[in-house]
Amino acid sequence: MKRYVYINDDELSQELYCDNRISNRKYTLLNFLPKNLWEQFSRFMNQYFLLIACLQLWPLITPVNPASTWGPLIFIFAVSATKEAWDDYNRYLSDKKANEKEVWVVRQGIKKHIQAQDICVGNVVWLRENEEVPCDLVLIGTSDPQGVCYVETAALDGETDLKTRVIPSACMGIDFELLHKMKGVIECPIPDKDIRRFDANLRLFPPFIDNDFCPLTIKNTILQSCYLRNTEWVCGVAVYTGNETKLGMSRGIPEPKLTAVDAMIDKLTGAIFVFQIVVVIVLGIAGNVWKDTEAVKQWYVLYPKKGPWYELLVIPLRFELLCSIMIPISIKVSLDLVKSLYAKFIDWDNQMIDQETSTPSHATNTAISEDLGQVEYILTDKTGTLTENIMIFRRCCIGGIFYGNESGDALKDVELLNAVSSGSPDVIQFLTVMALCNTVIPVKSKTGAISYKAQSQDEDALVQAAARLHMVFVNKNANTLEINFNASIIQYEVLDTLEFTSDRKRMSVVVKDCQNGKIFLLSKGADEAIIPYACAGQQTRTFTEAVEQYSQLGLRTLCLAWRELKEDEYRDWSLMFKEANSTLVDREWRLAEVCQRLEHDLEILGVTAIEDRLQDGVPETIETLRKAGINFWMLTGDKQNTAIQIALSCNFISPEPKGQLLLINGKTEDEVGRSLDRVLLTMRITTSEPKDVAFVIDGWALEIALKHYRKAFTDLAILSRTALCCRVTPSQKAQLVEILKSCDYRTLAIGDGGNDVRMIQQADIGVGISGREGLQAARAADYSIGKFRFLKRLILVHGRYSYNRTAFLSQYSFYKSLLICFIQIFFSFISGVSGTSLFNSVSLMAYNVFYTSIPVLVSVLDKDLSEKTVMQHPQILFYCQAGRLLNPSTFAGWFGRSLFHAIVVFVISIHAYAYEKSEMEEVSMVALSGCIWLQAFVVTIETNSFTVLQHLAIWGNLAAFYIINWILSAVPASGLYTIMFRLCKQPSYWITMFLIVVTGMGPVLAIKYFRYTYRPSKINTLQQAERLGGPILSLGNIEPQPRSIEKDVSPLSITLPKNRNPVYEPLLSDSPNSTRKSFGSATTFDFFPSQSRLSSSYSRNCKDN
Amino acid sequence: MDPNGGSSSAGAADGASDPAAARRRHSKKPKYSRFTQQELPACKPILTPGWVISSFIFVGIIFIPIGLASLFASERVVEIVHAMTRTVTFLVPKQMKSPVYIYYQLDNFYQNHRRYVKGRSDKQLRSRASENDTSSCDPEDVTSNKSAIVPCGLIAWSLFNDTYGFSVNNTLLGVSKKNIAWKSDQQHKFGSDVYPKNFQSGGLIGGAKLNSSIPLSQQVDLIVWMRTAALPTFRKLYGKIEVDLEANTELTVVIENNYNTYSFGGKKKLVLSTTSWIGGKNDFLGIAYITLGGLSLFLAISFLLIYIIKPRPLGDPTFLSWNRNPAGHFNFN
Repeated sequence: MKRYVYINDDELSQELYCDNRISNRKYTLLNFLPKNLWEQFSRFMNQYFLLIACLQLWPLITPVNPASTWGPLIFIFAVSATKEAWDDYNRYLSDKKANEKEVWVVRQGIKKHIQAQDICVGNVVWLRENEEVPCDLVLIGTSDPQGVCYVETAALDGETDLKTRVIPSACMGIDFELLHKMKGVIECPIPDKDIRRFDANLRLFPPFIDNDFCPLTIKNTILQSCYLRNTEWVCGVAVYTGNETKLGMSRGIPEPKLTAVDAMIDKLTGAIFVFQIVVVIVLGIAGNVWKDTEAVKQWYVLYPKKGPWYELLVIPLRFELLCSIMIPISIKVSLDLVKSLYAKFIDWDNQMIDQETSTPSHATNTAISEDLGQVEYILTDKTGTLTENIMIFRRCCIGGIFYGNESGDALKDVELLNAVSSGSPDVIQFLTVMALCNTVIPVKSKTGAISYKAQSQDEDALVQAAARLHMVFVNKNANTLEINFNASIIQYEVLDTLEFTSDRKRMSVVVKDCQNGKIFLLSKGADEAIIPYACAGQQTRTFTEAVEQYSQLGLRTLCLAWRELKEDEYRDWSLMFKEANSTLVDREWRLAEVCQRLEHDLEILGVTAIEDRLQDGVPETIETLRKAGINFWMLTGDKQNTAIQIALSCNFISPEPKGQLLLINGKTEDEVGRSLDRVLLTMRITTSEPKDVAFVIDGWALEIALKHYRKAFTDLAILSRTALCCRVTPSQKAQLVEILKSCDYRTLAIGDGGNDVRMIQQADIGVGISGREGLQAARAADYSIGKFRFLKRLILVHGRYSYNRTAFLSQYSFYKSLLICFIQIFFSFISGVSGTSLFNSVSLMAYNVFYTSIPVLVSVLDKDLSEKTVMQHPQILFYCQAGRLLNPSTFAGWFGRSLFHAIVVFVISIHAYAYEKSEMEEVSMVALSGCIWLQAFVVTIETNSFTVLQHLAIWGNLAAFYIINWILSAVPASGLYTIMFRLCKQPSYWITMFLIVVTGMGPVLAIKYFRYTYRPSKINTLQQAERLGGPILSLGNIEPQPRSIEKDVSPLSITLPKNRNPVYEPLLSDSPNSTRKSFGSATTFDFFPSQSRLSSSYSRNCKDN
Repeated sequence: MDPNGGSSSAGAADGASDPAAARRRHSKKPKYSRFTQQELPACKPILTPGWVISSFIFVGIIFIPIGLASLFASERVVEIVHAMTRTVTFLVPKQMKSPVYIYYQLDNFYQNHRRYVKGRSDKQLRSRASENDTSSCDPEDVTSNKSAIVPCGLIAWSLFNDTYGFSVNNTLLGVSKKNIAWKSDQQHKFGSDVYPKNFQSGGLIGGAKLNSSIPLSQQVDLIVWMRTAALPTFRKLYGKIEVDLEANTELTVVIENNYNTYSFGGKKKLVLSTTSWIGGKNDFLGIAYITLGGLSLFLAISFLLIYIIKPRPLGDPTFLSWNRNPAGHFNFN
């Protein structure tokens, strides 16, 4: 499918494609009510309540006024609908603002000012500096004579650096005035959401240019929501408009995530529903039997001899209505309310503000805070998540000479400085490649200082380092690069750029030295993407060793290489490259193939080593969270050695003898299978030992394992607390999350870059680090934090509290609903099983919505343990994991309590108010106030810390109950008239209340006390320790000893890789029955990497021992 | 009565103090407040043996006297209960100070039956204007010629209609019907302009008839009857005897037995009773209080004994299993 866009053709495209009206709205004014209602009623709970409310409209069966269900139902619906409407209204406002923005568009050859929403496909749109791009445009002209413009794409992909965009070659040099009259056709794909690809062609009509197709790439476009920067003006042809732009297409409503707590609440609701049905059936039958045997004798009831056909149903339906309060109607609203408060607490938290950038943490998803407290697996990215993603050039190896090994900083290495100043050709070439082989744009400020705009942090580090070594990349003027070396300017012309892709793992530029006309290919890339292409005869051993050594120190390595090209070789290749560049299908693959033809016989110049420092507090955070029983998996695109180093330095894995690394590798299905089996066996054997066993797998083996040994791999995933997955692709990251989720583990994925987005969306909880790789991950995530170390607080403090609070709140909600329902059921046994409601409509309505909701809502302030204690004893998170505070057995406790309390209230009420006092309204109010009193004390006994607000809510609510009922008792028309005054005047009323409270709470208190003192949970013990003050002093000893971070985190201080050997030993012992020291050559271990570099390195390590 | 409520222990000032100043410098965005930081000062009581034991003792000490007082009050009430036959003669066991309340007690009578409780129209009772508001009164709503029954519904229709005549030594004792109905009912629930109409005029006669010249607000028996009882055994006030009855007085009651309780096997009883501060004779509260107080003391003592015999230091960190197992491979139980 293709789309043909005719430039400046006003008639043609207008009908075919949508206009540029952006709409993010979910509703319109007309469909709001039906659509919103439909959405709300697609929830089972709401359907249920609606059914109940409708049944209540039938006076024959309703025990109470229909208002008692309709009122709360309408209230709850109104709250949800208002929230939706408000959100939608804000979306509408922002849409409107974008749609009505004025832009300059060419119409009938004249530039006109129109609203952005009126742009049509094919229109030529003019933009000035700092304006927002209104739709997807193909550039046709800019103010820059070289046809370049700069855009900021932060809103699109979150990357904050400037990107260069160029006009297609066909449009180059067209006069400013002529752009208005330009005609032509752009052949482009139908709209999609890929913001990195735009494979299209442009053909201009005469008189502009020859009939040639001119290929277009994403580089020739500027996309909606980007900003134009550093460019006076541009003009472009609208190709995609409105909701069909790349941004519009990628917009989507993500699947709402359901927390484990929500799932459990749904399950419990289902169980209660079943229970309710059983009760209804039993009571219904009993009621009908009573009616047929007893009621006929009760002449005053005057049952007709023959009832209507539905007579048998009447009593069961009455009980259904009576029992409908068993499922608390208010629970959803309560939960929504507290959940948004949990989210606010995260947003507000001062201790989770990144001080460097002063970005606070943010909870985008307000509904899943409880899940944070239940995390069992954390899958983390490495670069930018564990590390700072600030790249610093540390060491290099040029022509076999290592620089920077002594001082840890090559830029200060005297030898290197000397080599630079003496003009050693190797070094000069090396620096030239460092300075030129990149896509960096130097930007000169007014003061003359040069700053660099780079897309990759590595390139930035390299160019900066080259500049420090006197090879300053000063200017990029279209295709001319200027380098200032030792005060002399050298100019190069860039002929082609062979871009970096993650498959190729290298990038190259073809440059022409402007002085002597020589053409060079300059390449840089991963070692395995460069070293195999070294020219025959070059000794690559030192470079391999350098790479090995550097990556053992946790440094990122890049190999630099070059080759002089023959004039005609380049010319031939250049043609192929152009052709590949204009293909529409599989362009990327074709390009890679063509690039391959040039990138061979390279002369390797050296290896650079760039340090990416660990973020502050990463080792402690990981250690604390591991103590909390959370398993860590590191998923990185980086090399195995680098990953292992970083893992060691941040406590991810422990060095020998505590830790053991098991390697899964292999190139073929068989190899991987065998390796996997062996690791699995070892893992099973060592689970009983107190040892940190981790497995390491690379992307290739993972691919095979996931495809052919999914079962075995899943077993392994369950067994291992730690895993390192190297060289994995974004989709593999997501697959790993999927595997853990399928085993019913709660997973949290944390990452910072675009490559983590899929994993973040897949995981139960996605956390994004709003870091240097842009905001892409943070946008897709449920939570965004500034630094990895905030994860500790997010999980242990916010997650844990949220879970505890919700666990209490939801169970309490069921408890209070069951309580009043049980009383109704008991009452039905003394009212001839006829379905009379003991309580009046007002009380029933206010009970659920008002009397019992407010005290429990303040439980969002409850803290069972102080933050400090939790941080000291992260193991306490165990109680949150796997739902240990909210599950059928804890719920059974609450169920039992409500049954017990119902019996207490009912029995005491009917005995204390027997005979002459057994007036209906009075007994009803006695029972109700008994419930309210018990509620207050139940909340009190379950609250761990009382703030002013809690006291206010609990006791204030009790007072409010009386005030409200006094007010109602003062209204002659109400059924309650004078009742409450009469009751409050009777001493026996207060004595009864007192009795209910003590009978109800006494056993609860006694059991709680007994458990608390003689069978304390860990939480109880810590509470006691924390609050009694005494033994807490001794707790200090147990506190994790603050590790001397310097020692572990800065592997750079270790100069010789030999020192690290003990760390590598575990790798060799991954065969359970092997005696590690005895083997001599790597070949005996078939599960060793077949890749020569790795195996040689391991055998070398071994020999060094 | 909350054992936790008062015991504010060390936690109150916890947390909020130290890093606050340091944070304030940077916190441009989220405003610092104790609420937003979840650092509101809180009292964090825990269940220490001291608190729990003393609260149980406290309950015991408070409950037993209250129970005794209630029981004593209940014992002082003189109550005579008699099954109703035609004429009863009995001795007053103790002196009964006036007013002596006369109740009729019905057993196994479901005034709380759903069909029954719904059988009334409060609007109709309240004002003449709503005379035809009988929708909730089915089956006793209208007569066969569709004119409204006032008061409509099953409750009024089944009005109790036994009558009692009391005499001491052949002298008739006056039974006062004054103030036996709630004043609020007479003033606001039963209209003074609403007169009985078409009442008990159908084929089925339920209970008592009403004098159609007396407004509903003065029909005290009806008003009492219409305060439906929540329990199937209930007493309703019939009247008061405004003179003291001395001990051993021979009281003769002549009963006109009209009300049908035979069909459902219910019993009718006549109750004469004085009253006290906790109401009529009801031992339940007293017994419950004494039992509960005793249980509380028993619990308190057992807790105390357990505490003395097997003391358990609170908050001992050695109970944290992960402290016992150094490798970090803790197992919970």
